[in-house]
Amino acid sequence: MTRYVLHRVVGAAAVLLAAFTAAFAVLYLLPSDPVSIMLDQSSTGGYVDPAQVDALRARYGLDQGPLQQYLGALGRTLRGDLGTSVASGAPVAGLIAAALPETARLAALALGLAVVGGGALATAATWTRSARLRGFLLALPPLGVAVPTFWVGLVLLQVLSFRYPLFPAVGNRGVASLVLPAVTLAIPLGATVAQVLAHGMGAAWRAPYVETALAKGATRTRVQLHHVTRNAVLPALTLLGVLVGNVLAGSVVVETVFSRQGFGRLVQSAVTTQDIPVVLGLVVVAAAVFVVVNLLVDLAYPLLDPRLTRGRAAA
Amino acid sequence: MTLIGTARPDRTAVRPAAPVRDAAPATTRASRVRRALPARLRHHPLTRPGALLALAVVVVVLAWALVPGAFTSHDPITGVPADALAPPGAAHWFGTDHLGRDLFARTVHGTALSVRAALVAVAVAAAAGSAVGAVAGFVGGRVDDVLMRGADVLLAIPNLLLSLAVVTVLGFGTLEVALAVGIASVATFARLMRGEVLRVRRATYVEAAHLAGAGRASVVVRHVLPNSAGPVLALTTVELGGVVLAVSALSFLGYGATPPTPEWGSLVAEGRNYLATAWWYSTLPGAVIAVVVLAAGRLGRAVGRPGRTAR
Amino acid sequence: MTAEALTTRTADDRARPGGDARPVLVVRDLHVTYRGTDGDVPAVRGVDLDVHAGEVVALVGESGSGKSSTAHAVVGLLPANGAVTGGALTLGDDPRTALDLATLPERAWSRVRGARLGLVPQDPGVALDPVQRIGDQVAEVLRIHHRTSRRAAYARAVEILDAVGLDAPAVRARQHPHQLSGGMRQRVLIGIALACEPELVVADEPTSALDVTVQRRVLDLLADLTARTGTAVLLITHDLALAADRADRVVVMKDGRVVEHGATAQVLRAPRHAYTRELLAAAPGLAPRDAGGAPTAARPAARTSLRAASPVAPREDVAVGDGPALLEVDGLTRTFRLGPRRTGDVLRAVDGVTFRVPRGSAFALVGESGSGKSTTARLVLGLDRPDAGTVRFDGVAVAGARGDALRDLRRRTQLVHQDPSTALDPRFTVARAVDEPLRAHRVGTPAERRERVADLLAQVHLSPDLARRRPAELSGGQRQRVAIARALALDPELLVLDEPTSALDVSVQARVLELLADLRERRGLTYLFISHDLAVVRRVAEHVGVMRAGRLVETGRTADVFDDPRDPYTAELVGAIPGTHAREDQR
Repeated sequence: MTRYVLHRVVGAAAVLLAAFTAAFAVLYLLPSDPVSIMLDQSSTGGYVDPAQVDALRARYGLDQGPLQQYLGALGRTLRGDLGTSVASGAPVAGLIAAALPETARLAALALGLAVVGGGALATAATWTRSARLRGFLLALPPLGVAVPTFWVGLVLLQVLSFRYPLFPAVGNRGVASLVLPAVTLAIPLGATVAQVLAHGMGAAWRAPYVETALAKGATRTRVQLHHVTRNAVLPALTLLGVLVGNVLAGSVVVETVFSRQGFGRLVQSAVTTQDIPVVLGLVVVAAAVFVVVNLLVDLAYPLLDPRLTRGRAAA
Repeated sequence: MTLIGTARPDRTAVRPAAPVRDAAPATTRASRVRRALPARLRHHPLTRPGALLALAVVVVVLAWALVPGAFTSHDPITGVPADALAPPGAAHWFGTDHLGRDLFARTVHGTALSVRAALVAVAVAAAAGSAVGAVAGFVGGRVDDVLMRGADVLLAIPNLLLSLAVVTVLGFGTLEVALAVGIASVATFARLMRGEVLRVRRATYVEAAHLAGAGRASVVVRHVLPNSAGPVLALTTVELGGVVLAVSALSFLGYGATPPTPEWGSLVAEGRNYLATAWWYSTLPGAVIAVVVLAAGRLGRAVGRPGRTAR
Repeated sequence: MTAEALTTRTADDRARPGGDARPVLVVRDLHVTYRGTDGDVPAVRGVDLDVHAGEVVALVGESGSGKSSTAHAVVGLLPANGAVTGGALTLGDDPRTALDLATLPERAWSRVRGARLGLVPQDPGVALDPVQRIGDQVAEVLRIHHRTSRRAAYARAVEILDAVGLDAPAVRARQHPHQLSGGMRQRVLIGIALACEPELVVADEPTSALDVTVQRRVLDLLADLTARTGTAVLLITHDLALAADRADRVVVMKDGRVVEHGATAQVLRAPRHAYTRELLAAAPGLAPRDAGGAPTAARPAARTSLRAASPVAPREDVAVGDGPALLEVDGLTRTFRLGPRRTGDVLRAVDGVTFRVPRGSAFALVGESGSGKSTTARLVLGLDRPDAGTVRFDGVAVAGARGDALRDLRRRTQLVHQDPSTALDPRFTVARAVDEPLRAHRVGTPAERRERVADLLAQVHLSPDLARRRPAELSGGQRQRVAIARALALDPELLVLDEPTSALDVSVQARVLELLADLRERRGLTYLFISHDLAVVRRVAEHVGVMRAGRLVETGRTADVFDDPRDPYTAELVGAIPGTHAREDQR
């Protein structure tokens, strides 16, 4: 068991290191010159002072060879130093730390709504015997995946903030300001959850062990609760990492639409100002969140699925 | 050879001579229409009403992209200030914007840019991803390990963030956005293609071909690639919808076309400031995006689930 | 084993069959229809059927006969697109508690299934919930129908596991399905079906997924337990021989209708319907023995030469048959690593196998799943490399062949796969599939090849207008004929047949076996025949090798090995062939 844990932890660390490397390679080593991008943004007017270029190069270590740059950045990152923002000069780690809590609240609520809503929809769609109801319910997830998040946000704002002022349109104040962004974010997530679960539950309903259970005299409700749900939820757990990653990515659009502060807004402003150190830091943090969630799922999985425990002995 | 839709694969229900492949209850009218079709077509999922509607949507949108002038006589760039923020009506189907420009015309004229970006993105992703996946599947061993670990890493970064990082470096513009979105989807295609190649390579008929004396290259060309292509094609269609969404999201965030050039995402963004006064401004162009993505997804599922003659 | 633990009442409590007792199950004019995209497909068309208490009735038919639909109509578990569209299904021999199942509402079904009506499903491998413990799955049926505490139900479940013959039942109860073998899982499912001592058990092909020796033990258990409780059994099977062994009465179905029914002995001795006669003739297990079993009688030349060379059949394990050997296998060994390298766990899939196949003869390798017979076939074809030992084809070592030598070998040895549905590229037409080897070996001009393809299709009795079809548009038997035609395209000398008929219906199987025998005679082919089905082997091969756990435990002439097995395992295998009881009864 310790071997398994160790194996998974090392694997997760390797993926994270590779993700950092890939992001670094894209942002610093592509043919475009980071300094001219930075200067484009920071200085006004077209004139670029060569001395200023050199100073900047030295400051960001860009006068060194690519390997030294990479190793330096990696070393600093491992110590928790993600560099400084070009636009504001503030430390990147501090910017991200300040932005994360707001987004974490939003993400948690959105994920909760998505799992509850998506799970309920999938359960109802596979449990019902009415083909019409099933058809209607199963038509919803593709719709949820297809509608653009920014558009849903704007329509919700229009109806529930402007026409009927039930929720505040902008800002980070209070639970009420969290509702519309969370619902907006939950729609594509919930649709994904519903699609995966409905697929898994549909397969479970067609499995012969369900026929066995029905032949025991179990009702459909009992079969759904005792056999179908557990068999369908287990494989769907591996989706959690992707969902959390999508929440972070989705926050870029949603926080922009609802003018909230947070992780996504930081991404949006960093990309707009082409603030490369900040973008690198954000990408690495997002990858880290994904990797950690996946690691937790991997570690929990053998405890939940009896087929993965050792000792398949048929004497 | 799967039994789609049957609650339980019942051998009695499926006679070899007259296979009942799809047990999903069809509406009577639809089944009557399909019964009039030749047998080979009748069972193809593309002939379902939903898929036909989706196909129609995609055809119309492609026509908008190719000949926008045929669908609207309004100028998408210069407006009539007197008509500013007019609600939808006979004169302006989608209403007008704050400069009095016809929103339907802007949507139709913006199609070319958005569709082109989506096609570039999906082409980049499908071509690069399939190539990587095919190499990984065929060569196997260490090459496979390295390529697939690389794909894992790309999948560890959420797609939107990955394309944002690429856009940061490439700069802003429709082509840059398209490339960024395409690069972010490479890993998905690589995974699928590799899985398909491995699946087909292990198939009994491939072994039979080897035993028949067919050479390696001939087996790859005649058996493996054609039989792997179906699912990849289906994913391409499904991804087309996802890519339209991603491209419009990036353009909504302001990294796409520069004003006043119309583009789907930026049209929705322009309407943000008029939410309280002009509901149609953001809503109708956004609805067009939703319908197109929905249609692409529906079409993709139809392509990915061939009838009994196709597989 | 305490089989008594399962039952609290004895068979005497129940009325015996015959006399004026009402049947437990009465089926009258049953119709079952499936809704399809092309309209409604009738699967059962007016079936009448009676099952009396304590009786075993076998419902026999090939795929598409409607036997499975009838069974599922009885337990009310038709697929969502299927429905009972007419007729009556009455359960219960006591008029006061008799129920019409055809009109039973969903709620009421849950009180009938499990309590009065049990089901033993088809494939034990997937019929238990993979994430729940065995004990809980048995206890579930008790908790549904009896108001017992969780603990009492679980304790009773352990007793039931003991009664169905599981060793260490308390341990097994805590395990999950993947930790049990297929036979054990089917025992658990029988325990579940009988837990509440139902009036009727429907057993839907209960052993078709199991090895033959396991199959016998499981069926013995089912017979034993149902006899004790007086439970009636409706046994659904495609295997007439199995029905003959196990049933009191046989009902034969074809195209949704009952074509013949009657007492088992009577149906076997004097079948009235032509289809039953056809099935009987096709059932390998019921074939009479006096013809020598092996088809050598049809080939006097081969038989004479064998007789002449060996008046007393050689029973030593090394060499079987004589005359020039086309295939010589010597000390063949193949191991597979189990788990991580460092543990050193290996599976000896093939372990020192030695046999020789004379030119023009048919040698069969028989064994149950995992015995190593298919691995041996792959080694013979050079598709896999042995760890030790040699395979020589016409004097040439297979393992060392490269380049032109390998191409030559490929041309002279061909394989026919088990499952014709996966052995043909779904995108290739029949003509293209048969043409593939010709093209690969650059045989003739396109026009000549077209002619050759047409000739090959004719040889396997396929109509020329099938040439442009794709595999999905063919039946299983037609597909296997295409695969055989493809294997014959290059005029091979040795044909390796890996369970060539196990995926086919029995009458189709008989026709394919006939074709194989015919082709062998006409073209002087040599066969290496891989099969788990001893009854089939008896028809096809004059020599047989019995494999178990990678080893060849016995070889010899088929008739000798089967009639006078020396190895205990062979004896068990032969004894388990369905139809054995029936045949002996007829003597």
